[in-house]
Amino acid sequence: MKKRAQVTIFIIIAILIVASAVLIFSFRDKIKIFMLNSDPVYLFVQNCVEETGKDAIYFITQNGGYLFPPTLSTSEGTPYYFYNNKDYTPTKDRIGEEISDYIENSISYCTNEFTNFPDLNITEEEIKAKAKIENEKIILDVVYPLIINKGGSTRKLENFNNIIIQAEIGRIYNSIKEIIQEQIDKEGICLSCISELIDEEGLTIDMVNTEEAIIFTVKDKYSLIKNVPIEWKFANGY
Amino acid sequence: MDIKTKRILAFIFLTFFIIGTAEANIIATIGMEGLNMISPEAGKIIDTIICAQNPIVCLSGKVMGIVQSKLMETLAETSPKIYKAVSTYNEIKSYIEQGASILEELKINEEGNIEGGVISFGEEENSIKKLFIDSNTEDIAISNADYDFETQKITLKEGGYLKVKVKDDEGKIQELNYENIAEGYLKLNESTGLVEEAEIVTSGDSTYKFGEYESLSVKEGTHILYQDGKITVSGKENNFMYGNLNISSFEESVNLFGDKIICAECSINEIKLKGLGKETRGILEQTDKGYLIKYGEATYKQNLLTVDTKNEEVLIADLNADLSDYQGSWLKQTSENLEIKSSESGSINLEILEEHDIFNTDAKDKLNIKLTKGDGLNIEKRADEGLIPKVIYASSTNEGASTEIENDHLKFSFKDGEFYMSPPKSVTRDDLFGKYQSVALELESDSAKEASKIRVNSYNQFIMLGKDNNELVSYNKYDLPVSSKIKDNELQTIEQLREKYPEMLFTTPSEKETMPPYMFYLTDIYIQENPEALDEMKGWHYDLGTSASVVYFNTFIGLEIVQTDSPNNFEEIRKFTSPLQVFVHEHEHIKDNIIIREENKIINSKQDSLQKKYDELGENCANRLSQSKTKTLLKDFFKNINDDKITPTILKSLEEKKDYSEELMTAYSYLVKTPDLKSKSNDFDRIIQLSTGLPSGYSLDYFLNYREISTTYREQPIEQRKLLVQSGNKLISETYTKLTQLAFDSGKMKTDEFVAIMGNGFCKKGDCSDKICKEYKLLCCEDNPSSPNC
Repeated sequence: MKKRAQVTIFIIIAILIVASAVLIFSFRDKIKIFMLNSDPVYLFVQNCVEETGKDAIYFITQNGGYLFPPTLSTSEGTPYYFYNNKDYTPTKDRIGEEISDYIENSISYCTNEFTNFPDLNITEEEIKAKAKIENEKIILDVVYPLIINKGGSTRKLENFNNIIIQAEIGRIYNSIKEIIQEQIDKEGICLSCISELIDEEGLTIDMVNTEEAIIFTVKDKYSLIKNVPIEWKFANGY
Repeated sequence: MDIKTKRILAFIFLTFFIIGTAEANIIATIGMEGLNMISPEAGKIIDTIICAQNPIVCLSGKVMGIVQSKLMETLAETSPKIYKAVSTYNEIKSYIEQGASILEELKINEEGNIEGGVISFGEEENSIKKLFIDSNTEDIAISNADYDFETQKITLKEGGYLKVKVKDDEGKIQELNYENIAEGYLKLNESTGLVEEAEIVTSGDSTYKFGEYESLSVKEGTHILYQDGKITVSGKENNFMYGNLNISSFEESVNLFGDKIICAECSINEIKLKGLGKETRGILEQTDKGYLIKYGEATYKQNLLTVDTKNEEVLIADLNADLSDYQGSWLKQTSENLEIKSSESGSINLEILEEHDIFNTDAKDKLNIKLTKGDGLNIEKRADEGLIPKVIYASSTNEGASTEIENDHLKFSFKDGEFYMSPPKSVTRDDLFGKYQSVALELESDSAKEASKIRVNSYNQFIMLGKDNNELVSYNKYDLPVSSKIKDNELQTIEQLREKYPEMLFTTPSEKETMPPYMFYLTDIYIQENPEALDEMKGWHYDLGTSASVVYFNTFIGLEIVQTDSPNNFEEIRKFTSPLQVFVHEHEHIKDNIIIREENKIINSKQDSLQKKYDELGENCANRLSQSKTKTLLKDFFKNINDDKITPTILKSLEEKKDYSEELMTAYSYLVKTPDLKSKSNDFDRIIQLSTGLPSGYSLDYFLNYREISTTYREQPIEQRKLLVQSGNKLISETYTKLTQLAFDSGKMKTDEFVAIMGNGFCKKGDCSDKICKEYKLLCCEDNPSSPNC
């Protein structure tokens, strides 16, 4: 009886080992992330990507989708989306590239030469970021090669993928695009068209006139970045 | 037939031949001495028939007295023409016997009519109706007047008059008096006996009637010309009644043409009418529904209507007029409501003037309305509810129908049931002359298609509200409330501000004190939201004008508050969204100075002063400029700009100097002021912000003067500071966390603001007493001795 019980235990253990092996093989990527998630440097960089990504989203939307103003901008640097009855709204891909550029340029101000890790020697290589704008979120994939050295042992971190920032800028973008399309071939600013569109989307618009243009700021009080509503600014020249 | 009979027949034939061939010729004259026949033959007849029978009235072919009827009968049988002449003489002789005199020989034609000459009637009233054989009048009486038969003009002398009695439509006899005439003439129609032409100057207040027109009541010294069916009234005191119309003319004369009144500039009852330009005259026609403005500018109850073409004619409707079947354009205003409706093919041009009862306007308000092709507006006053007027757009389905409302520099239009807005121009200093204020109102459409409404305030701002009254679109540069309440739109002048806060001194840059009214409103809002400002600013003799002037925005706070230049100018260096930020900035300076004053009372303190804390923070930020990463970014930036005036200097400074903030400041000013490079200043801002932790290129000035750090921090909107505290950039987040803590510790920042910036979970205690005095302890620990940080 005792012997039979022992055999049963061994069989169960064997089954568990095999099952674990199958599970590990099947979910190896997630397990890898799980392991990375416990890495303080990885967590630190991931946090920096996220925080800088949020800064980027706020900054880029405030600047009309650009890191640096394009040629067709007001003297204050607000890009024209509508000028001489034509639509100059940047594409979503272009805005994604601008967000990526911001992250690439600014993440080092967050990682701050890894001074938070005085016992590690961390070497940075060139960072490459890619931001994909979806309706309700931004997905960031960042290649940030880091060589971490501690007491002669070296390891490498490189990919910080699938970092998701919940921000409905894709949806706001779609509304802006429609607003611009509504202005084409109209005599003046069609307030009715704008209000109908933004009412459906739960947005609001601030308009301010300058000597050159009307500056529009589209706000989504439900879409927050660091608890601050997103404000998307652009200029229309009539 | 004997010879004698032949001679008589030949004489009679010849006489008739001569008289017959001289048709319409003058056959006799009448003078004071009597009737004198011109032809000897007629004289012989007079001799034969009258003188032979009655030598008393006749002598040598001349009639000198009234010829009796018996002789007249004989004369009528012998010569009807001579009979007519003698009849006329008899009439004239009767006038003479009543005091009339012949001033100029009267010329009698063969019809017996007087064709020339002048008779002067004396004081005694004479009926002259017989002189107007075909007249329908009951009587025509004259006194103290000369009548010129050739021109048919009656000239009244002093005290003279003309009375014409006529039957009116109901058969009643009406007496038309023409008296009180200092000079001039009246001309009666031969057939009607009514005055058909006149030119008179009145010697007293009088009422006259000309032709079929309404009676005209004028004052002494009025000049009236009635000619070709048109009355022209002028005079030094040019106020008169025309029927039920009280008319005053301000220039030249007024023409009355039946129901039409034409003038260069006049008032007609409640309506002021004038032409368009110097050369034209306004035209108004009185109708059974009101006053139809046919041409010119008409002002009614402070509604200025401009009519240039027939399509723009507009009826100012009587309050009780039924307009349901009226096809033209019209306007009607009661004490509570103004309705305007354009005709299907026409338009209305309306300007709302000052002191308009419905819109509650003043002299600086600008509101113009144009309606076309059937569109209309219905404006409700709503003052009883304390609300601004509501304008309901009544849309038309006519093709091309539209409504345009120009409310100062805001221009709205309604087309096909939808609201449009013309891009407004920027307000400049020049706009502060004449009319530069908007009129507070709410705009709604009666169209089911448009559920939104627009609310405009008195400060050139508007919001668009959705069907649930949620704010959708805002045109609100200075972030002022856009309220539907009258009281929130009333503050328009510096006098009102002075009255509200008598303890403060308000000044403006110019003597005329022309400033956009939003500045007064904004000042009021700031003081209301920061009541401590009144106490802090009062009696504080620190003149902040100099420090404020660096932002091109001459705001004086302290003893003097609110001085502003053009609202656009103050955006030059820092990107202010509201002048309120300047108030906050300057008020923060006062708070800092109060702290310095209080700190000075504590001698030998071991703790650092607040300013020293700011100085340390500023130095830390400034030192980051010398980091190699920052220098590399700036080097790339200026190389990319490649401008001869700044690039070489900056590149040299970057190589050679540790502290090059002054050169950077100069370069930044150059970027801002150079149109082609202005947009690059944003990139520069960003580099400095990322590198130093302070927000913009202007932060360079902090490094030169750390006294500006606290003030420029505080002027930034709370939301922006909140974001900067949470920034992924550690320099920025640390700097802003410290600035927030310093403001809180020093008592300048209230707990609400502190929590809003630092986040809800930051403080463990509701009053944040656990977080106070973390950075600044000197006065803080005096005021909060129980703080765990002291």
